[in-house]
Amino acid sequence: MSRASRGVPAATRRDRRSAERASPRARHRERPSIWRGPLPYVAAIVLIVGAIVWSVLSSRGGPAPTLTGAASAAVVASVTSIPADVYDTVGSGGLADPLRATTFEMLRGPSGLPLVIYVGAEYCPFCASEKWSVIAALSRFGTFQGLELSTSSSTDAFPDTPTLTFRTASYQSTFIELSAIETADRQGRPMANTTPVQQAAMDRSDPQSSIPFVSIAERHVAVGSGYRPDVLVGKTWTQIAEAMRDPSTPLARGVIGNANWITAAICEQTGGQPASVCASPAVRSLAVR
Amino acid sequence: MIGLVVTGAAAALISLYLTITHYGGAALVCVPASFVDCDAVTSSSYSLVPFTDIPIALAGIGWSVMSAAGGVLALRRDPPWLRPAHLAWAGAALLFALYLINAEIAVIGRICEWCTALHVLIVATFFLALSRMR
Repeated sequence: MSRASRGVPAATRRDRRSAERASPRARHRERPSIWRGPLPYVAAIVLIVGAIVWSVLSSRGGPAPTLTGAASAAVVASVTSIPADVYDTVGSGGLADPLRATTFEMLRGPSGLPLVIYVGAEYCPFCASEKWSVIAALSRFGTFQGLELSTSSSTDAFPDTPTLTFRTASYQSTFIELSAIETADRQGRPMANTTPVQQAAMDRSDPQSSIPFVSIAERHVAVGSGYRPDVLVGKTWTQIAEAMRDPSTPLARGVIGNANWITAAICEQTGGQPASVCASPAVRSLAVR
Repeated sequence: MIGLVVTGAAAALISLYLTITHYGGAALVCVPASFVDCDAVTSSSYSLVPFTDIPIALAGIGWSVMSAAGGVLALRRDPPWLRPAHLAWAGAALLFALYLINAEIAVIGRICEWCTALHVLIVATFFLALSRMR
């Protein structure tokens, strides 16, 4: 028995001890709790505000990426000459068919070949992503001249997405014809009006005139990007061109998978020509779906 | 405690709407503004649970229903484990919401107002759960 407890009746001491054992909350109340003060609230507010401020600051990236002329030519050469085994390995890339079949008659170009139409704009981020696939696919049927590098708008969604532009491009093929237009530059300033043929195709299949608009001889049409454009974010043209050749990358599955769907739709209009492209495993597997 | 039920129910309704539009392919009702683009956000890979094709909104329904159920349980019995469990549940959602907010602002460059409404409800749930720890 301690000196301090002398003189206190034993029954009272027992009562006090049992009361303390029976009520741990009462004992807890006597101690300061971290949950009772402002600290948790302040910490949470600092975390939330800090995270948002950090996001805003990191969104203000540097200037749009630029490339030298030689590097630009290397990117264009890479994108327009992707090996066939890359297309075959990627297949659909896990993408659902981005093209919608129509009941329209096949649309032919001035020389009687199936006409592929592309309508987009340089500022448009979804056009930026779609063009990588369109150019890769069309390069299997013909040859581009005058493709240049560009980026989407700095102030739109997915700002400064690297891409290529049809601004000064021409296309030669013995299987299809291409009618491509960039209606505005990357600042959104008008550059060109759609031709009557392009506009008529849009009016029939894309009444809201959404871009990008891709028409494969009016038998298949796509509005919007066939894959998620964020796979391109933060990459340079060179990195994108390299990743397109690596079937294991999410970027290749998006860009090449979409290109394979476009290729399969074109092959349907060319009667399976050229066989080197249209008889490939990837195209055949997508064509039978 | 009724606040937890209300925020959970509201979050479940918004998540349900986002899930329906995801699978239905319909466009979200979204007020046009220079920094708002629901399609850009919901068509990005950030709208899916990482490494899956499951829309985050579907996971959001599960989170919201559980949070609302926790609120109902708190109203009825309020077992001792519920308060820290609810705080951890809300804290995990808060961290994921901050990740998504970063994706919207820093990567996509646009926000989705429905997603933002959900984020606000998650923050509210977190502070309600935090206040119950007193």
